[in-house]
Amino acid sequence: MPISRRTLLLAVAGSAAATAAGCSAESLPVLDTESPDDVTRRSVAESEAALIAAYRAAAAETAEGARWEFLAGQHVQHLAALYPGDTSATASPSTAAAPPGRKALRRMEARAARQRTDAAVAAQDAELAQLLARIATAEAGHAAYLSAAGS
Amino acid sequence: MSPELWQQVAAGEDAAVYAYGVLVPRLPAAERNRGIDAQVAHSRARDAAVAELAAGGGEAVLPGAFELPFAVDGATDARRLAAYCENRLVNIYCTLSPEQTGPDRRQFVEAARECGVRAVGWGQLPEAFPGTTDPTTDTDRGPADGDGPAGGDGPAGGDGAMIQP
Repeated sequence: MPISRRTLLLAVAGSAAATAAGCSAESLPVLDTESPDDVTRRSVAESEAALIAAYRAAAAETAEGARWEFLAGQHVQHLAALYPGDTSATASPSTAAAPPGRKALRRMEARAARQRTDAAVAAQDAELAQLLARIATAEAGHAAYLSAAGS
Repeated sequence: MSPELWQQVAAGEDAAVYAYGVLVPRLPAAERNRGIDAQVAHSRARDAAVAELAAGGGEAVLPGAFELPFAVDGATDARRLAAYCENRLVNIYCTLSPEQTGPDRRQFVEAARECGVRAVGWGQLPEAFPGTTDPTTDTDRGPADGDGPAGGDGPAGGDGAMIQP
């Protein structure tokens, strides 16, 4: 693993707004030694960090803080599962420009579920493929939960 | 994919078809169509898995009746059983998905997603790694604000048994 999670999160923290808006973080270092699975893992981790940041920003601004923290905690688990054994970093700080509302969070989760599905299909390592399938399912479930809750 | 794996899919889907047959009549009238739609989806998925087995020269073993993991006495139990079945299938599809490649793997991941979405629709709180926990015994899974989609988590009872023939 050529890039630590701390490095990743520091980089993501600086570009969280762009990442949250759906842009890839082009400023992140891309190392020549990365395998396709490394690239997949890093890309998914960036997206997970952006989701965490979005939920944390939302939690700070709304009365639904417990719910957003609950969902953010699941993305923290995703991030940890992508880089098992790396305990060098905690979740990224809240740096989203404006706290997203429920609909924006739902859209982010739905997009993440589609991206994780693509990533699961592309993954070469079987363990990574299964992990990404579960994360895709989790995020589809988050989107459904956000559609139902409070409606 | 090997015949054994298609057999797992066929058996899991068949168990869900059976369970929905039991639980749909226990649902409130307003939720029954959703239950029937789910049963139809699982029936189609089972038939597709049986067809895959047959194409490979195999034959699915489908007992048709199953021992339920807990008694289904009312709407809360009915939703819980539905979520339980969906979770089992999430686990089956996620576990088997790496055995597939390309569009076939995508189909498995999308099947897992659909089952996971239905589980949440039946009132299960979202999970970080769906399909890896037993929903009949996991009682502490979320914020205590009590205003989730349908509530009803935290069941008493449930011995954690899988649905068995």
